[in-house]
Amino acid sequence: MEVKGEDEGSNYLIDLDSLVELFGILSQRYRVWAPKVKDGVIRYMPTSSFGELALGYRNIELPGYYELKKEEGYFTYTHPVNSLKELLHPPELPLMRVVKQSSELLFDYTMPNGERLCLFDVRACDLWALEVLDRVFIKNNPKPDPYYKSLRDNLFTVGVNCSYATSTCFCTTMGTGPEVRGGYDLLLTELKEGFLLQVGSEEGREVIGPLKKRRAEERHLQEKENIIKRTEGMMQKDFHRQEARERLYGRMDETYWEPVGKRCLACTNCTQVCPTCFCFDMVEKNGLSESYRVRAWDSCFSPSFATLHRFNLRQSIHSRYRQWLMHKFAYWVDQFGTYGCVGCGRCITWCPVGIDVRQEVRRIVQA
Amino acid sequence: MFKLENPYALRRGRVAKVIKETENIYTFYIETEEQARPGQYNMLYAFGMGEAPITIASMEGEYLVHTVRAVGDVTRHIDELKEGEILYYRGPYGNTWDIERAHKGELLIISGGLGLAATRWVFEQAKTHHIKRLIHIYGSKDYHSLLYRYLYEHWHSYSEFYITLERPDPRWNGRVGLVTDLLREIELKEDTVVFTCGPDPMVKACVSLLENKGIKVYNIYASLERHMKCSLGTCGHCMIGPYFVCKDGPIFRYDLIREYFERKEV
Amino acid sequence: MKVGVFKFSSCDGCQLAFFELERELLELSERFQIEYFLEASSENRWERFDIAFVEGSISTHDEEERIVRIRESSKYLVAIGACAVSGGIQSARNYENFEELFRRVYEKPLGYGISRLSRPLSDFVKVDLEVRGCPISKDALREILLSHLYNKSPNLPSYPLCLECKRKLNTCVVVAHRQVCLGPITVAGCGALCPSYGRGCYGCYGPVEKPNLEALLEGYKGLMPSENIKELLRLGFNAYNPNIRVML
Repeated sequence: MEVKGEDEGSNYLIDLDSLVELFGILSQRYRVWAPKVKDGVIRYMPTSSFGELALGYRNIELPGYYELKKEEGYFTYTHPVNSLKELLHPPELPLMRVVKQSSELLFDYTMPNGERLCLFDVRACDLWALEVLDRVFIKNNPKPDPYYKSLRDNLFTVGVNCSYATSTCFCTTMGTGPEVRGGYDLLLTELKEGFLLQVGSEEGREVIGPLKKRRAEERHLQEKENIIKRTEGMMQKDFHRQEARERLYGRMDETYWEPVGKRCLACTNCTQVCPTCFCFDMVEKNGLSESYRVRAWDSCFSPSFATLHRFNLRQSIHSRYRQWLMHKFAYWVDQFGTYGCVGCGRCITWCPVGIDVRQEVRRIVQA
Repeated sequence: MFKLENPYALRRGRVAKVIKETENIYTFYIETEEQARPGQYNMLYAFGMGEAPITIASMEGEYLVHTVRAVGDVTRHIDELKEGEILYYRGPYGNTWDIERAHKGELLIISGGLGLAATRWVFEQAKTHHIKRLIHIYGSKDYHSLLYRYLYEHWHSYSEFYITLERPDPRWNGRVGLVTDLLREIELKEDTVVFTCGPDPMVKACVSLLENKGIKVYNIYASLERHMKCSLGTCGHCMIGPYFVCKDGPIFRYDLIREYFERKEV
Repeated sequence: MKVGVFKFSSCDGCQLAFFELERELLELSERFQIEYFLEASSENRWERFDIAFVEGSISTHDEEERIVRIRESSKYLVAIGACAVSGGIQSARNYENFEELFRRVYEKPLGYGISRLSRPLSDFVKVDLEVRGCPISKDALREILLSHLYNKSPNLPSYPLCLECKRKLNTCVVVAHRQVCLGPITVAGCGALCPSYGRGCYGCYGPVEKPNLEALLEGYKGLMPSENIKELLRLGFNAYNPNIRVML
């Protein structure tokens, strides 16, 4: 992943007041999306003041289970339930409006609005997901997507290092976290004495210009390292990803997949909450004389996804699960030079019947 | 920040000529300025219906040739287009037949049904290529479904062109039987290069037969058909194993896709 | 295009989707002439219909005859709603002892022949399109009407409710709120109405093509005993849907 540039002169320590001030500066410059508590979960939402943030909450996540508790501190949770996919690859995005005038068609291709947007509090897994989506839509795509790009170019990110991991987190297994290693404009780590603020881009440097801050010292950086080590320790190494990938190619036989096919509802939840699942459908939304072509989230678990001449090639649920898991942990590397999974664990938490993809990879690879 | 070309933008092409091939298959000559290569396809658009990927059957001068069978909403509406009307489309997409592989050698083309539209152009180009022996087997379900009848005479003039019908017909005194029956009888050199496009089961059956004849799987190329929504490698619908049929294909060297193509539900 | 709207054993709720279209209905009425619609008009003509929208299940002998007459008069017959598609909530009786149930509900025999079963239209006539829901959504109705103008097949969802629910950015009520939600095995189309208000889907749109009910029962064991979930389905709007029937 591309590191936007981090040097010794980029590390500061700020106190809570300065953090509040930083949020204020961001709110003036950008439309800010940040984690808030809604419906009993932490969710990225438009946020106008620091007081609305989900600070001091802790998300307890298990396969098919989520709850919130209170906790001492500020950035005491992990990532929100939704991800930046929602912003950059919205669930429904009109690509064009087509108007019929007698026998001619008029096309209006309006790009999504180019408002400057700040995503505040992005964790390592999700910053990786951003890189993954960048590759899918722009970097590794011979025909880069202008809709995605117009949203992406306006994005400013404030990363946060995790000081906690839930039972469904597995960023260490996928090699994406818990340490934020790049892709951010600003980076925060909550320390005993305050917040370590690190700069990742020129724009980030500009933003914090007027902020009251002091140079971070060696012990602050050391504390950050310790925090990351501690967070790492909260997760197990579930499997060796390269080895798993190599072995998965030899595990295409249905006998490996039938057990999970029996448990899976093909409900599509895992793919929808996934920060990198990009598959979409093109939906025609028709009026009397105009038609919108809309890009809408789709899923390889949908019963019409692989339809050829009205027949879905993937009839069985296990074949759809195989497609999904093989894509995430194997094919994706061939396609985009990175895994499709960032280890955020959302698919595990939000599976209504609690299927744990880590266990499935292990079971299939070890069989 | 720079402005990207919108890959979803549709172009207009005037329909210059329409040929009725069968009851539900029409061939359209579209005025175009685009450059394409044999084996590539366009996304054709119908207002309110969406798009369908359709192979480029040929380029004749500045005319793009598309043969469309009315099977869904999009194709049914395209088939209703008349001369002088406008077809909206985008493309070309996908890769091309690697005809250089057959340079100074033998080339066998196997087409099943509408698959002939995907092999027609490369077959026409093969005429001017340095190819020692050019064979084309075309299988059609019945007499009614025969495509491009007006080209057979010309094709016979420069190749061994065989047609076989699955069902007999009083008007047909040619061959009746499956493509594989015909293929079985043809003597082939082991280094023959094969291009094929047709229904999945036909392709599978032909490959297994060709292997028995000693032909190398890496010399066989197949053009695949899958569900496509974007043609840009981002909608995910056309994936087969690690490949996006829309941008890595539609033509694949068979040894690379065999594992996925021959397996059920991949 | 001549349109007829009919009803059988049902609550009239699906017909209301026409009125919900409000202004759009007026725009569309330039292209569609509503010839027969008892709930909307006192002037009704029964001639030939290009499209017949039929609400309700077939649950009396009289209805069995009338649906055949409608079919004979219509080019394109659309079953609207859970009653017409699956037999409706009244098909809960299909799982009971009919005579006993009848005695419990009515003191004396009724003046018309009531059938043992409440059945979908498709048990009696060829149905060209089935529209799910209790009631159907106005979006589905608009799509069907517009599709006739466009001469295309209507694009109604076959995917599960969860996909629609997540497109609406809802939080999963099963995981976050421990609610029993039938969304994973129910067809989308309602706009994920119930989960949008924090409650579980109770399956009024009926099952997806191959619902993995066994897995759902197993996975929801911690939320509700399997027998109770089956009971919900048996008393639900789609109890007699062939895909549900075989599993109960």
